[in-house]
Amino acid sequence: MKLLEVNNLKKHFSVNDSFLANLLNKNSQVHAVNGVSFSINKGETLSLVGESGCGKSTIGRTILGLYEPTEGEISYCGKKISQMSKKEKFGLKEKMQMIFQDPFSSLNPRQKVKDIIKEPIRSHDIVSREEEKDYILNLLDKVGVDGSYLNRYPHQFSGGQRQRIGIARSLSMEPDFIVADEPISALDVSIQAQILNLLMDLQDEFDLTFLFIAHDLSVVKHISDRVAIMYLGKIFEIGDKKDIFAEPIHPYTKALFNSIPELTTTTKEKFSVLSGDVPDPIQLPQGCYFHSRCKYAEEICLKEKPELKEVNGRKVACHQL
Amino acid sequence: MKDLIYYFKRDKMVIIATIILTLIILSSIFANLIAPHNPYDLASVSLMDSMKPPIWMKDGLDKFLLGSDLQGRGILSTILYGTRISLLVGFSAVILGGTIGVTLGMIAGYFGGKIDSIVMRMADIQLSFPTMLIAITVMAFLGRGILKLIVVIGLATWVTYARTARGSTLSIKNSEYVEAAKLIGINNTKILIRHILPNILTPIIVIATVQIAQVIMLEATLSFLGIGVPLTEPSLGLMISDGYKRLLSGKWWLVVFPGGFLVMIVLSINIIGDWLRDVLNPKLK
Repeated sequence: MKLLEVNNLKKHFSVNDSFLANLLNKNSQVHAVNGVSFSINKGETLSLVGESGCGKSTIGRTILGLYEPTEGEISYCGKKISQMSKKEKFGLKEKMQMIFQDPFSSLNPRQKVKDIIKEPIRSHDIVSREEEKDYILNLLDKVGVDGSYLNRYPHQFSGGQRQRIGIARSLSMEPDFIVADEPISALDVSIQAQILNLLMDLQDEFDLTFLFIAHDLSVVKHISDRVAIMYLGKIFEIGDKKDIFAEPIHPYTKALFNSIPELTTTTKEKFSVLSGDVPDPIQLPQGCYFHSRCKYAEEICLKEKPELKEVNGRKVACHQL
Repeated sequence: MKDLIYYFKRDKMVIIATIILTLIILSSIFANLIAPHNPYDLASVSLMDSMKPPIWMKDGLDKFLLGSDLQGRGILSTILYGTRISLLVGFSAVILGGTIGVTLGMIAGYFGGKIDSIVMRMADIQLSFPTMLIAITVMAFLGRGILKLIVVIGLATWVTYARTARGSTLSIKNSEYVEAAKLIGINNTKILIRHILPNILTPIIVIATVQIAQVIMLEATLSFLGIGVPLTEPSLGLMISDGYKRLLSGKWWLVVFPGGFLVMIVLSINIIGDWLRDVLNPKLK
């Protein structure tokens, strides 16, 4: 069953919003997301992978309504979000939540732990006032934070514990769908595995669906069911994790996988780095966005944008297949 | 809070300033109990007692410790009552200006766009005139009065708070905890009150402390110029203004005592303000 469907999503940001720029029609835009379509089934984890600035986080935030989409549709349980009433949108907040990247800025430094978790519970009347305390304690226990810390402030915790508190806040409204925006990249390596396992345990227990945003491929391999590789606001390859990790097809996916340093004697020969830079997202290139760095690029790649097409059980956007 | 007490104990200047300020505030609040007589009570004032020097000088009277003024009011009593008015104006004007400024600044910073432009252009326009000039002009039209003075000074000083509040709001409105609050679905008013306001309060408190001293000075200046508080309820500024005219005729006590009192108030508030700024600034720790 499809829980979430994203159809041809585009999100552009204005660079210069000043009065004069509008007047002179010189308003340039950053093309963060350029027509992305995918769907997520209930209970699965889809990972969005790509280098920084490719629009992964923007997609997550647009789905959750932090940004208005420039174009395209997002549907939750078959219902278009743009056509929902205000009340329905408020109800949807319970169903869709987010886990943030930086545990040091995602908790209000002036709120106690209990107030941080109480806020969503009170706003949405999840439980009655009498049950509230037990509910919070139970939640903290689930994410592995001691119940005696209820009256502490965020600065009294370590990064890992803060991230656990943030996760407890996201779970407090019993959501079905969670966008995890690089939830472990700001943590110590020793804590990363703990948080990752916690997320997977919670997924089993609460039947959660994850949109997992990451750039660390080993993490993606560990947690995902399906993977989408992104470049400059477009999906280049999307399919089952096993298929893609076993045999990457798109030239960019190959290059990305090759860039993981491996501890073998042959590392030096196999380790290849892409030359050049990601094109300017303000002035999008013609044709395939990757053509400037692709060693297989031909005439057609400069002129036409490749569409996603079915190849070996997954979808790939490349002219060369 | 613990830190605050720790730093407080280490700084002798601040301890002294706090003790002086507390004494001044208490004595002005309980002026009617402490003061030898009530300078507002015309029945107890006699013109016969006019211009008496302090008690230790020749012609000094027992009932006027620090001498008396033209109307025969005791300087000490008038200072105690006058300080009450000066402090009342200082605190009220800062609370009024601070509330207006912080509210507008937060709204401008948080919502941005047209609201931001309108509020900040208003602030720029007001800032291009000296605060003193605005206060003098408006008070000249309205006439004397304590309430008028509070409102005018409050409205003339909101810009300082608004600019600081806007800047701080801008720096945290895109933080992830504000996004988290949006994802919960709580409305903008609650976000502003619960998440933005507590986190921008530190610089505001520092500014407000220093502003109290400045407002007391502003009030004294306006009263000195004869457009502040009414003659019947003299503040420190009005007393200095009165005394200054007679300074050259040797009646120094009319101006030295209220002047010294004003200096003590302003100095102690400034010392405390400076200390607060240092202690509350995490970068200096």
